[in-house]
Amino acid sequence: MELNKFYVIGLAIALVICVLSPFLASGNPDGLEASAEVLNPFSLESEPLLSVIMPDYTFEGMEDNPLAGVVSLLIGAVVTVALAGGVFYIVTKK
Amino acid sequence: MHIPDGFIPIAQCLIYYIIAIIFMAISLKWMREKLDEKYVILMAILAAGIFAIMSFNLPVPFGSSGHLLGAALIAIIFCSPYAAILVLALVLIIQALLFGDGGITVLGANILNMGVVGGFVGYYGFIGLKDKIGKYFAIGISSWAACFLAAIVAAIEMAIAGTFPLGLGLFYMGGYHAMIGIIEAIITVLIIKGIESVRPDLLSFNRGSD
Repeated sequence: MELNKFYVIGLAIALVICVLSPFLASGNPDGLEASAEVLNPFSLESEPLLSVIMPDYTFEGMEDNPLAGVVSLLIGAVVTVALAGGVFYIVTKK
Repeated sequence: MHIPDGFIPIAQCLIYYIIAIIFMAISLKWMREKLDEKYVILMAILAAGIFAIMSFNLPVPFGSSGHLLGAALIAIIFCSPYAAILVLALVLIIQALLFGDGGITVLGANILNMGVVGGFVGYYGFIGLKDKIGKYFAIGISSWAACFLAAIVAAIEMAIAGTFPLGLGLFYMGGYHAMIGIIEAIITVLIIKGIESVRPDLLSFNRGSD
């Protein structure tokens, strides 16, 4: 397969996952939260120190709308590929 | 397995930050000296893929869920634990700063667990096992172990912090992540098989000594 085509397909798969995730991903607590629920439920009440622009992969006031989740994940994936590409390029450049 | 703020006291968080920063510095040195510029795009796309797939929790028995961490995947594809440390650090920084997924005080601990532990276990597990049990079994087992041992280290940090008791913390964290590790193993094998079938030259274990 031609390399550019491979990259485009790879990135497309990542973006498709971002679109599907808010609809299909499990809402069960992750392994750490599930452990905390049993071992130390009080710890789960601790508040995050940083106020972020897209808390829990959604936007404030739109928590029930999965499309807000899609948009926030797409933004995250684009920021990730751009920042990774930029930082790693600068580091590897001789 | 992203630890939130409030689970680890600040003084201990600082120690994990220092350890994480030391490993990130070593990893940046590796990248500057050893990584060919032409693999940057692949690494950036894999970073976005890991970001995406980390949002896709799959259910596991006993009411929990989990997702790919991806450190073993990166370490095996690039034949380097340092590649995994840098990719995971970048993804974890974005998750903490933009999405509040994993606390800011515990970012060092999260990079240490998922990036450093995951990367080293994934890489050395693969290298140690591949000639004994075959490439794909080695990928599966080492990526399972990367997830499992990252959780074990997190449980030990929780015990030092006084947040979880040691024995039960190891039992629950180990038990849940033994199941979540199966997800890690299956997805890691599938992605590497997929790359192998279309562009085997992108897998550094197929390139001999470079």
